[in-house]
Amino acid sequence: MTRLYIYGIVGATSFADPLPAGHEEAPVFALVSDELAVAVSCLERATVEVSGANVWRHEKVLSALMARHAVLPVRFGTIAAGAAELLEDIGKRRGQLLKDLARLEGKVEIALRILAKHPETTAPQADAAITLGTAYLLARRQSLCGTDATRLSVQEVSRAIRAGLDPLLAESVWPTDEPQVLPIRVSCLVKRGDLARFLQTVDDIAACNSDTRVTCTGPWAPYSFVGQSGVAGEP
Amino acid sequence: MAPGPPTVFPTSSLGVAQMAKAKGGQDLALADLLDRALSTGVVICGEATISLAGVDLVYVGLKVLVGSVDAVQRMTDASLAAQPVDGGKRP
Repeated sequence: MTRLYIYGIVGATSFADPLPAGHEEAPVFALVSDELAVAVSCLERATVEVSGANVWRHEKVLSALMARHAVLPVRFGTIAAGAAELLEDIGKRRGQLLKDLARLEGKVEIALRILAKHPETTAPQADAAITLGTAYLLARRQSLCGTDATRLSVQEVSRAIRAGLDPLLAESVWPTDEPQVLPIRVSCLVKRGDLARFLQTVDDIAACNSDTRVTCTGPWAPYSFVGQSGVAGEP
Repeated sequence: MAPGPPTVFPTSSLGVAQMAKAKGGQDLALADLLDRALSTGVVICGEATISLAGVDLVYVGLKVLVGSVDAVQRMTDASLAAQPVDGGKRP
């Protein structure tokens, strides 16, 4: 049985450029369903190991597709039992897939992290009432949430960045208004033409806050924006 | 344009050139990629069958969503912890 590993879906009947090799060095090819093409490669093994190399390989295929097409990235590790099953499923979802492709055309995802530049550490608790378990939980909470002062500072920068970026965001996924866990992770859907302004805006706001660090990575395929209406919520 | 790993963009504390060379920049990109590739993206037919550290994790029909590597690792740890030791023999 030939399994098919699935990378992504584009609104075309062929790919504009040759694609890099997929998992197991297998060639990536188009499985066409009407006006949609699914990027797949044959897979001998039943599973794909979660490793940096394998996840980058998945991403490299998507990056190559993104250079010339709007792309719907498929979740890492998705394997179809065969072409017939895959084409049947694509046919059933055709309407939603076409809607998503139209919505995401010309846009990319940028990942933002907002965190404290110098995470504070707390001296060990000397309170006899604090048991080992309580001390562990307190330390664990602080490692996730930071101190109150740190968290409030990061939340403030997050709000400023959100307000500053608002005109440049096609869609975005933010945590709740006062996220407790640091770093704050945000997914932003940005038009390619707005990327320079987006980065400059982040840079300008972050530069005014010496205690906070902001990182951006991307452009990614719009993983966080497929199959949803774009309503903000928890990432 | 040849495909390659996504660019790590500048931050307030580092310029573009510095950030591109910064140690850990690639790790940061990988962490952001893992956050996305394992827990978001189109959910389609078949199964997402991935393995982590030699343990196969099969999500039939993708009804159960994968959270992240951290979440998967915790699930794996919990699963292993739940298994009885010594073949289930207890004193």
